[in-house]
Amino acid sequence: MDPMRECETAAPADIEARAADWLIRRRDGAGWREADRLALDAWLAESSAHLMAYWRLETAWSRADRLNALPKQVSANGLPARGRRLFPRLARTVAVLALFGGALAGARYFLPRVNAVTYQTGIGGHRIVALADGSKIELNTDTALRVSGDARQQNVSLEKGEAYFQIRHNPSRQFVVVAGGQRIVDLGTKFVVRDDINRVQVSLVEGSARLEPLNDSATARPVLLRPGDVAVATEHGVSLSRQPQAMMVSALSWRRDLLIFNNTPLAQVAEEFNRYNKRKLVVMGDDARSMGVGGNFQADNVAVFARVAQGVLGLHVESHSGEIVISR
Amino acid sequence: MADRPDIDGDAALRTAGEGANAAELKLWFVDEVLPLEAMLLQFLRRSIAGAADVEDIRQDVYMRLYQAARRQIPKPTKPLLFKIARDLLVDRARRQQIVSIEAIESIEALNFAIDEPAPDRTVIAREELRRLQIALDRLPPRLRQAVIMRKIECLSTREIGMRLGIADKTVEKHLTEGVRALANILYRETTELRSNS
Repeated sequence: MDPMRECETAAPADIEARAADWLIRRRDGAGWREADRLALDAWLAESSAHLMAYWRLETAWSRADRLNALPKQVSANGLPARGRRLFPRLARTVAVLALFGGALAGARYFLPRVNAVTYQTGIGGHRIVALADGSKIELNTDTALRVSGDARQQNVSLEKGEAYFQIRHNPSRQFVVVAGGQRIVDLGTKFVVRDDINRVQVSLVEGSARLEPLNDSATARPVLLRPGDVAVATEHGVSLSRQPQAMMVSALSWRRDLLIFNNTPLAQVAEEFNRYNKRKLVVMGDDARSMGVGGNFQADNVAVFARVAQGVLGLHVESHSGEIVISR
Repeated sequence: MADRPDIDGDAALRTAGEGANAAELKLWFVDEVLPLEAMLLQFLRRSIAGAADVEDIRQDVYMRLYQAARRQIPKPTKPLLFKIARDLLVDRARRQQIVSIEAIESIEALNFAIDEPAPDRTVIAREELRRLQIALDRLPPRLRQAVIMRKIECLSTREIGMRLGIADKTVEKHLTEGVRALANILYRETTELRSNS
């Protein structure tokens, strides 16, 4: 970038307003198209002033996610949090009761809502869902999950992909995550669930949780997970291993859009990249596939990885439109 | 890890610079530069009291700092940030042919400011929620309502619009103003927030 050109940028307030506009549209998810992404990229590339303004607001906006830790205090300040919105509805209910004297009609409004909501992300997507109880779910790339619940239980069913759960423990309301035939019952915890085909992996980061099969079979029994535990459930059963802290950090690196590898076989590296990108990495030959790779990479920038593979690892790289073929 | 802001997946990284470095630059900007904004603003306001171009200079400082960081990320960041700020102020004073006494004074005073110990990380984390809440309370009611619906109730722009009975464009406007106001309150006014409570 030419520094002279950069000094001729628009007024700071305009830049900030544009950055905020991009951010809000980008984070809304709905209606965000490939063309928007390209336009945003172009705008950010135009000037580092744009980039700085965008990062600055983005960080503030992400920090504001913590707000869901204080919904009650917030609604005390005259805000329309869930509890508060109930009042006009209750008033209406009372009016209905007075007119028809029907107790049943009113009772409906006092029952907790059992709505099921589906959240999803596309390839390369990343979304944070804050639940009313203060729990948070972060969806990784290409993920779908359904959230439902009533007064006694909160249910999340992971249909595909990977999600990081930060659960606000509530002894009177169980938090249950279902994935690939397994149930994970929260006992106050943070964990990652990844649902690949035929295989569910649960990595426990903090607290504890109970893992149990959905269908009570004679052979399987519940497993209590502790921090550092990684449970892998397949149709043959559940295996448990304990991972060092570094592995946990690496398992959560997608939250920062980084892929962290540590002597990871190239075949697995390719698989990881392919979860985030439409343009797929293909590794040919066993000697290349088993080659160990280390380092931090942006999940969505497979081209950079290809350059590293060629320049640093000395591999043969062929770029096609839909895929990048790597061999020795 | 929990004390750091989460960073969403964004196109920003792709355009940040060369390769894997880009992610590093972003982490550096978020973790090292943004926490200095309160101090930088304080310094700029003290140096050029009442000037309308404080924001321009702040943005200029970030831009130059970032360009330097693309070559090599400064460690530590603070001295370079204030060196850049100081140079910009000196340039500006030369250009305007006014050298205010305050400007010189605060540049001298800066040497102390730079050496102030950074607050403890746990204090920052505890402060964070309180600051956020104060920030939220200070937003104008309509903005606050929209921000809460987005952040606490996780509603989309459309859902917020339907609930409040306003157009999507208006919701977007509330949210963009909301995020800007939040950023200003979060990164600045450290001292004011403290003395208010």
